[in-house]
Amino acid sequence: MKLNKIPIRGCCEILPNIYEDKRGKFIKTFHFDSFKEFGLSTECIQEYHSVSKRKVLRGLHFQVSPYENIKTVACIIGRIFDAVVDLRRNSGTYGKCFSAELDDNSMHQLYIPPGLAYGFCVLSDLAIVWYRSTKTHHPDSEVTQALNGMVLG
Amino acid sequence: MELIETSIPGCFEIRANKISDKRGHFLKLFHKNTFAKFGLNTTFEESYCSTSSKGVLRGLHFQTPPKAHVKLVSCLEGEILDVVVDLRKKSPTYRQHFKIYLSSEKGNLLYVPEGLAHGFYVVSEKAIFLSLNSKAFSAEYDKGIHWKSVGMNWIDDDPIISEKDENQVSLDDFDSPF
Repeated sequence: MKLNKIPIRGCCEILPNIYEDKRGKFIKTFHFDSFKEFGLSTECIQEYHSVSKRKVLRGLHFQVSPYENIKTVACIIGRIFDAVVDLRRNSGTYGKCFSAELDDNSMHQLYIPPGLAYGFCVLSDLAIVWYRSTKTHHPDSEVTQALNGMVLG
Repeated sequence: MELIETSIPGCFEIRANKISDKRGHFLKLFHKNTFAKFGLNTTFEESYCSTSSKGVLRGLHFQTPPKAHVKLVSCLEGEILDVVVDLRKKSPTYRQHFKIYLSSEKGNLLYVPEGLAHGFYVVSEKAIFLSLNSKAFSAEYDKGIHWKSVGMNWIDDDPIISEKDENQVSLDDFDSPF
């Protein structure tokens, strides 16, 4: 596992090792000691996945205090356009956006700290997106930011 | 989330709630509070996923003490024939196996306690398998038994299998530490 820093503080890309043989592929999606060594949260309160068709857009979502959460996401089938927006007023990149394509070829993960809104758009016919979260889903603390009000880029 | 007993003590099928709408569907695989309520393990040191083609058999695997682990396994895409074998000498189902089809369609998972060997066979064209393990991989304590030695009908006599798995010891020759 390797770590790629990105321009938004606390947010990073995780590059897992991929082992391939005649049977298929094998990818470690979480490893306690590696996450600890990287200084990332090792907590997991829930793990889930979504299956979405081409052009589906999910987001932008986040949970507010005291249910703010850290999310780790990966696209394990297909390809998605992934975006985060920094909503932390005291951050040097407040209001800034970062985007990346995630796919099942590289299996890169995006590690998203609290205070960022997150969403993705499906580029392939089908996409399975896997998530880990440090907090349970809390409907009263979840906020959806309409995309059309934001300048992404 | 629904918990269903299997023929093997401590091993459960979990049926997750699958929420579908025009975008696709959404499925919760693990939820700490629900697992705690069920009395199941809630900490997982490692998770991994594998992609396999039709006819692939991976197994039968387990880790021995002190690195024995609980596994929560599921099939996120496609369908697999999932198999566990009880290696716990004191268990009423010692040496017995349990099989179940796991699929993205059903959205079911298998909770595999310590002391069970686990493996699966890919039924669909392609399968994405996901496993959460309570202990991280340990080369020293990573063990296996031969897939043909447990009295299981795998529906395929010539699966695609790794050399390592083809050379695992038979259940009869395995001295279980559990």
